[in-house]
Amino acid sequence: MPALRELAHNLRRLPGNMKNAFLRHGAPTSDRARSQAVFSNFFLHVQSTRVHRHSLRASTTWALGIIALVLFVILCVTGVLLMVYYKPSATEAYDSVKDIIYVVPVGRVMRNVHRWAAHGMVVVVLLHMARVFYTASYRAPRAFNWVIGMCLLVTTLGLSFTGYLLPWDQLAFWAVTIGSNIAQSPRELTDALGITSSFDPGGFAKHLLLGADTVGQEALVRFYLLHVIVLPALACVLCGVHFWRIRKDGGLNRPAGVDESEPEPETSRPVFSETSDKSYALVGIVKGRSPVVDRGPEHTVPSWPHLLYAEMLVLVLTTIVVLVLGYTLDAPLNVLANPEVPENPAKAPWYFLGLQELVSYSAFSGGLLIPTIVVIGLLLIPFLDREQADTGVWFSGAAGRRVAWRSAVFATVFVIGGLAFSVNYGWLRDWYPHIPQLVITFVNPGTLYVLGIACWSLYVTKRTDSTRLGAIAVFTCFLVAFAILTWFATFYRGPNWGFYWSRASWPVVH
Amino acid sequence: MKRLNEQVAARRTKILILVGSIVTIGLLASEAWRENFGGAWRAWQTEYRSRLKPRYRAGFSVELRQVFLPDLGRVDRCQSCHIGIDDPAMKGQPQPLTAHPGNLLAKHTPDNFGCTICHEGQGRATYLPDAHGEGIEWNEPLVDGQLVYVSCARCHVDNMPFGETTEFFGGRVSEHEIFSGQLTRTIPGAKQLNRGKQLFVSSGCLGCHSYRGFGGTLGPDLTHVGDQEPHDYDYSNLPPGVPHTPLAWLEAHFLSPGTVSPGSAMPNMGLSRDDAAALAAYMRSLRAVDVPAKYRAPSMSPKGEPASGAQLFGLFCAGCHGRDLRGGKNAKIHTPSLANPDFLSVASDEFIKTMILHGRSGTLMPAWSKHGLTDAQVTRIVGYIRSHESKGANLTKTAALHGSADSGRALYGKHCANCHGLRGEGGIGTAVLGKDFLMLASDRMILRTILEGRPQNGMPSWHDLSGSEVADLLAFLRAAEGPAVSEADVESQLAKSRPGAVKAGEVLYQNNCASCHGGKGEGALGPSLSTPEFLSTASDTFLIRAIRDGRPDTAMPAWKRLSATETADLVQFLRSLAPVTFTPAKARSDPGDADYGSLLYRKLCAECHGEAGTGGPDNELANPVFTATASDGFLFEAIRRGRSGTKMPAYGANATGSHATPAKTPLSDEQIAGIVAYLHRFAGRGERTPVWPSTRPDDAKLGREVFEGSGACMACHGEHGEGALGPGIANPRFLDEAGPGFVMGTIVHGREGTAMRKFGSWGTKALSPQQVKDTVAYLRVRASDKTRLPRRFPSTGTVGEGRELYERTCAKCHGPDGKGVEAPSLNTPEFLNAATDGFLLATIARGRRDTKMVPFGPSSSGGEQHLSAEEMRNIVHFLRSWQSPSTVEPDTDLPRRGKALYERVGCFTCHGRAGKGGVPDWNYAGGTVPSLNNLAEQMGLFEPEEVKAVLDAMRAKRDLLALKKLPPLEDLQGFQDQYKRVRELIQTGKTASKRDVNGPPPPLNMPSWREVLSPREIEAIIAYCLSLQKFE
Repeated sequence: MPALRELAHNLRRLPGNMKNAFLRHGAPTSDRARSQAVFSNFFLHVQSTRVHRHSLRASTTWALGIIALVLFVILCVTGVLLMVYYKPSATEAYDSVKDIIYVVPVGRVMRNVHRWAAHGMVVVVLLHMARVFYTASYRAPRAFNWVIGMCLLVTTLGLSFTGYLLPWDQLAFWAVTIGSNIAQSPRELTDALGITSSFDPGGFAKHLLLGADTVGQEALVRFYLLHVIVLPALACVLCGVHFWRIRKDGGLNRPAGVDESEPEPETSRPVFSETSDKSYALVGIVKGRSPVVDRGPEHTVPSWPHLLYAEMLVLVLTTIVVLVLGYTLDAPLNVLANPEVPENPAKAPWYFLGLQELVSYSAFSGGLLIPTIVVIGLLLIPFLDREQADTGVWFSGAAGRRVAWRSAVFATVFVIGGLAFSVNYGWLRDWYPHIPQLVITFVNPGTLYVLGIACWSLYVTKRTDSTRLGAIAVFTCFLVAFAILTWFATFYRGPNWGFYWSRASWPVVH
Repeated sequence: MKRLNEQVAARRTKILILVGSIVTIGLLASEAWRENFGGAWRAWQTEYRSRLKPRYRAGFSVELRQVFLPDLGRVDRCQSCHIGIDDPAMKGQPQPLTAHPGNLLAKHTPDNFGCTICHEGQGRATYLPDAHGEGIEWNEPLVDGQLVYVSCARCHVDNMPFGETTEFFGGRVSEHEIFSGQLTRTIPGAKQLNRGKQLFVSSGCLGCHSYRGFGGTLGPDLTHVGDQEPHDYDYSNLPPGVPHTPLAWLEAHFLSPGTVSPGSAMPNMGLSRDDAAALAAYMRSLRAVDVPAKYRAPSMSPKGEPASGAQLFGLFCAGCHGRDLRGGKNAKIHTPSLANPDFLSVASDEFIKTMILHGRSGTLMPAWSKHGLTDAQVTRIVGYIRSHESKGANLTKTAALHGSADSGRALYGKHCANCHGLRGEGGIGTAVLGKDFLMLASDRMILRTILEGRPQNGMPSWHDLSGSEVADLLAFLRAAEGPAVSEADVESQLAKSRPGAVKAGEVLYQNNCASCHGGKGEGALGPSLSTPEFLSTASDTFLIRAIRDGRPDTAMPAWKRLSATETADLVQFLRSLAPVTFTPAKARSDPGDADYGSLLYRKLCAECHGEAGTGGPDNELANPVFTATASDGFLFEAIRRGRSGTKMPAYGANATGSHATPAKTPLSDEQIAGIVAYLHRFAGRGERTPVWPSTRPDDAKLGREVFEGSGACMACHGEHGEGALGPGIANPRFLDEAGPGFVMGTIVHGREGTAMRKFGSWGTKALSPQQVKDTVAYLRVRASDKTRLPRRFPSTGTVGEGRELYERTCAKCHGPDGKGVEAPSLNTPEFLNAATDGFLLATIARGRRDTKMVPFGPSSSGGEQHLSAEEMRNIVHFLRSWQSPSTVEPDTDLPRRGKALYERVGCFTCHGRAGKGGVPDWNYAGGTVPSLNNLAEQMGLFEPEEVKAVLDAMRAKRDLLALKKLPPLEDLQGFQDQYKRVRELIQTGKTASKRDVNGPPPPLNMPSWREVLSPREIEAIIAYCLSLQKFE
C-alpha cells in the first residue's frame, strides 16, 4: 500500500520537513541563505539583508536605539508578569504590590527590573535622540522618522508617568498629583484673563487625566489602562513605523565619504553574484539607483550574522545590566497613599522635575508654553536645517563640536546664573507684590531661558552662517538646561520648594 | 579609521553573547536557588531537626510551613522559622526555636489562629526583617510582651467599652443602655490592657470623643482608633527619641497632648508613664471587629446592672469636669466645678439635667440626648453630682437647739440679706422679718426652707450651714417678733376689767379675727368661739395662750404683737359673746383607760379629727399648743357637751348646759375619760406632716376662678402660680414645707410690707373661708402638675438699664454678647431656658466661691459693686432679652415703668387696680382709701395737653421743681407745689386719721416709701397716676 508507505516515509522525514517548512530554504550556511533567512522571516525582515559596515560601528550609534527597544521588550515581558498579580484598585493596589514583593516567586526581582528598565528607557531614549541629532541623521529623507521619534519620546514619558501611580504609595500619589497639576497649568492664564469659569482647558485636561478632581480610583483605572493597553499599543505601532522607516530611508545614515575612506573588505562579495540572472521588478518603485538606496552594495556585509549577533549581544548585555540592578537595588515603595497628608515637597518623577522647576515660576509658562515651544522646536529641526553637508558626522565636524562646547558653557552659565539669581533675589512678585500675574507668566526665569537660548542660537546661526550650527547651539542649550534644571530640582529643592544645599538641611515640616 | 575585520568581530561577538547568556542564566538560577534552597528558615528547621530525638527525626521534613486561614484573610508562615513554638521540649531555647511562653496556645492553637492575629508582623514574608516588619514600610510591625494583649480585643470583643454592641451598624446608637458589667469587664492576664480600659471608662474620654455613637464630637472618633495606620499620625512634634509608631505616638500624646498635637484641646490628664502606655495600648485595641463570629470569644459575664451614675460620670463627664468634679485642668476648656456648694445649692436637679440633656450651645458642652445618653442615665448622673453636696444639718436635731439671735443677725447679714434685704424687707426673696410672716410660719417650716431651699425659686439649700447656725438664724427671725406677753400680765389686766375693754376688744376682733372666726365668733375657717359650751369650759389661760401662741402649722397665727391689754380686751370680748360663766371642770379622780379610749377615738373621732389627731387646720387635736393648754376637764366637757353650731355633737348621755346636737352613740363618763386619756398621747409628737383639707372635686375649679379672677392672685403669683411679682406658690416643695395653715393664714392675713394684702374680711374683695380653701385646693392641683413653669421675676426697669448694668458689671467676664470670655457663656438658648430667674438672681447675689464670680448682693463683702435687688432683676431682664428680643421696651416709657412699680410694690392693694381706689378702711375718716386716677386734677392739670406736657418733661428727665416754664401749663407754680406735696407724701407716708376719735386706729395707713423706692421710681409712679386721668 503506497499510501501507508508514504505515511511511514513522511513520519521518518517529519523533523527534516518541519525544519524546512520553518526555514523554507537550506541551512543558513552561505551568505545568500542567510540573507534569505532574514528576508523571509517576519521578525527579521525589518532589517535589510545586508548592512553597511559603518552602521555596525559602536561609535556610530552606541546601540542606543536597540537598547531602547530591548528595554521596551523587557518592560513588556516583566509588565505582563506583574499584571498577573497586580490589582488596579485603590484599596488593593498597594497590598498587591506588597504581595508581588514578598509572596510572588521572583516577583521582587521582576518589579525591580521593570522599574529600572523604565527609568533606563527614558534615559536611553533621550540619549538616542541626542545621537540622532548630533549625527544630523534627522535630515531628509529621515525627517519624518525624526517626527515619529519625537512621538515615541512623548509616548515613553507617558508610559513611565502612568506607571508611576500604580503602586499607590505616597510617592506615586503625590508625584501624579503634581503631574496632573502641571496638566492643569493653562488655568493660570485663563485665571489671569478671568475666563476660567467659561473656558477652562487646564481643568479639562486635569479632569480628563484623573477622571475626578483629585487622584483616586478613577485616576488609577485611567492610568492603568493607559499604562498597559493604550500607550504600549501606541508604542508598538510607532516602533514598527520607526523601524520600517529606517529600512525605507536607506538604513542608518553615514557620512558621504565613508566608502571612499576605506577599502572594501576582503570578505565582502557582490550581493547578487550567485544568481545574477534574477530580475527585480520592485526596483521600479524604489527611489534611487538600487534597492539599497543611494549606495552601492560594496561596503555592506550580510546582516546575518554581523548585525543580528551585535543586536543579540546588546540584548544580552542590557538584560544583564537591568538584572544586576534589579538584584541589588530594590525599587522604592513608600507607605500607602494618603490623600490627607501631602508629601512636602511633593516631587514629580525625575524627568518632569525640570518642568516642575519651571512650573514653580509660572504654571502656564512652565507647564504648557515652554514644553510646547520645546517640542515644536524639536519637531521643526529637520525642516529648518535643510543643509546636506556633513550628514552622519558627529557634530558635523570640528566647527560643530566647537559650537556645541560653547553652547554648553553658555547654557550652563546662563541657567545656573538664572537659578542663583532667582534663589538669592527672588523674582518680580517678591519685589512688586501687586504686579499682575500675566506679567509674571510671560516674564520669568523659564521664559528668559527660552529667550536667551533662542538669541544665542540666532547669534550662532548668523555668526557661522549655518543653520546646522545654529541647530546644534539650540539643541545643546536645551539638553544642558534640561539636565541642570532636573539636577537642581532633584537635589536642591526642599519643602515648600525652597532652596537647600542638601537634604540633611531640610527643616522638619510635615 | 580603523579597519573593521568582520570575521574577527563576529567571532568576538559570539563569545560575548555566550558569556553574557551564561551570566544571565546564572543570575536567574541564583535567584531560583535563593527562592528554593536559600532562606534562614531552612537552616533553623535543620537545626531543629538535629535536636529532635532520633526516632522523630525521620518523620520531620524541612519544608515551608504555613497556616492558611481564609476566614481571617491570613497566610502565616511564621512557623517556618519558629518551628518549636508548640513543642514543650523547646522551652528556654533561644529564638526562633523556643516554645511559646505560658499556656496561651492551649486554647489558641496555631493551626486555627495562626500567629499574626496576635503578634502582627507580615505573615507571608519569609525573611526576618520583612516578616517582623522592621526597617521596612510595613504597617503592622511585630509586637511582643504585654502589647500582644492588645490583639486580644480582636476576638474578645467584650473588652471594648460597652462590650459587644451588636446593634451597632456603623451609625449612631442612641438611647442604648450601658451596663455596669460591660465597663468593668476584663481579660485575664492582660494587665496593661485592663488598666487602660479602667482609665478609659473613668477619665471621661467620651466627653469629647465618641465611641460607637456614644460621646462627644470635639475630638476624633475612637471607635476604630486601633485600626489607624502608622501614616495616619503626624510624628513631626514628637519628642526626640520617640519611635515613629502609633503606639509611641499615642503614649507621648497622652503624656503631653498639647506638645504632640499642637492646637489640640485635649487636657493633660496627668497620667504616669505606665498609665499612658496602658491607655495607648487600650486605644490600639479598639478596632473594627473583622474576625468571623466563630473566632469571637463568648461573653464572659452577663450584662447585669445598668451603669451607675458614678460610672457614667467617669465615662462621659470626668474628662472636662474632673474626676473630683472640680472642673477641668485644661486652659482651653473652661469647665465649671460641679462640686461647688454654691452651685449645688441653687441649681435644681431639673436645671442640671436640662443642661446635660440639651447642652449649652456656644460652649463645649454638647447636648447629651443627642450623643447616646438616655433620660434615665442622665438622672443617675445628676444623682451622682448631687451626692457631692454636703448633707446639711439634721432637721430634728436643729429644731431642738436654742440659737442665739445675735449670732443669727450676723449670719443673716452675711447669707440672707443679699436676697431678703438688710431689714428683711425682701428683694429677690420674700420679706421674712415682717410680723405677719413670722406669726404664721412655724419653726419647722422656717428650718426646712433654710435647710432644703427652694431651688426653683432661687432659694438655696443651706447645706453648709451647721445646725447651730441655722438655729441662730431662726432665733434671729423670732427675735424680730418681739417678746411675747406673759400670761400673768394679761391676767392682771383682766382682773382690772377696765371700762371699754369689750369695745376695744371688738375692734381688735373685727380687724384680726373675724375673717376666720366670723363676725360674731360663729366660726368659719377657724372654729366657732361663741358657743356657750366652749366659753363655759375654756379657761382664761387657754384663751390667752391660744391667742398668743396660735396653733403652729395652722392658719391660726401667734398674736405676739398684741399687748397684754389688747389680749385682755380680746378675751373679755370673747367672754361677752355668750352669756355663760366659766366654771372650771372638775378634774376626775380616775384617769380613763387610754387603750379603750383609743378604740373609741378610732371609731368615733378619727373621721373628723384624723387618726393621729391631725384632723386638719380647724379641728386639730395634736397641736402642741392645744395639747399643752387643754386640761383634762376641758377635754372631758368638750366631748361631753359638744359644741353647738358645729358638727361636734354632745357625747354625754345627759349633757347639761349644752345646746349641741346629741350624738347618735352616747358615751358614758368612763368612756369619755378613756378618750381624754388617749388624747394625752398626742402631746409631744415631734414631726407632724401637714394635713390638707379634704377637697371636693369642684374645689380646684372654683379655686381657679378665685386665683385667676376675683382674688387676682394671678397678678402677682403668675398665671400658674409659678411666681412673678410675688413668690411662686404652686410649688410642691413650698406647699409641703409651709402646710395648709400657713398658706390659708397668709391669704387671710396678708403680709405687711409687701404687696400681699389681707384677703380676709378687710379687702377690696374679701374671700369667703370656702374660697380660701378652694384656692389652696387649686394650688395643690397646680403644684402636682409636672409641667411647671419656672418663676419669672418681672423687673420694673427696662432692658436698657439692664444692659447698662450688665456692661458695667458682667461684660468683662461674660462678654458683651454673653457668649463668654473668661466666664461661662450665658447667651445660649439651652442655658437661658433651663436657668430659672431664681437661679440667675441667686447666682448674681451670692456669687460662686472659688471662681471669679463674686457676690453682687447688697450685703456682699467681696464684690466691688453692690447691686440692689432691682438692679439684679434688671440684669436678668436684660439676659432674658437675648431669649426673646421682642420684649425690649422703650427706655423712656416712664408711665409704663410706673405701672409695673405700682403693681409690684403693692400700691394697688389699697388704691385699687388702675388707681380706682375704694378699699374700705375701718374707722378711717375717709371711709375708703382714696383713689388715684384723678391725681392729675388734684395736682392742677385740667387739660390733656397739660398732662402730656408734664409727662414729656418727666420722660425727658427734667426736674419738674426746677422748671421755669411749661408752655401749655398756666399755673406752673401751683402744680409744682402739688407735685412736691404728693412726692413727700409718698416718701414719708401718712397715718390715717380716725373717724371715731376714741376708736382703734384704722388698719390701713399710707406707709413710708422712702426706703423702698428711689426718687426716680416715685416719679415713675406719679407719672403713671397722671397718665390715668380720663378727660371726657
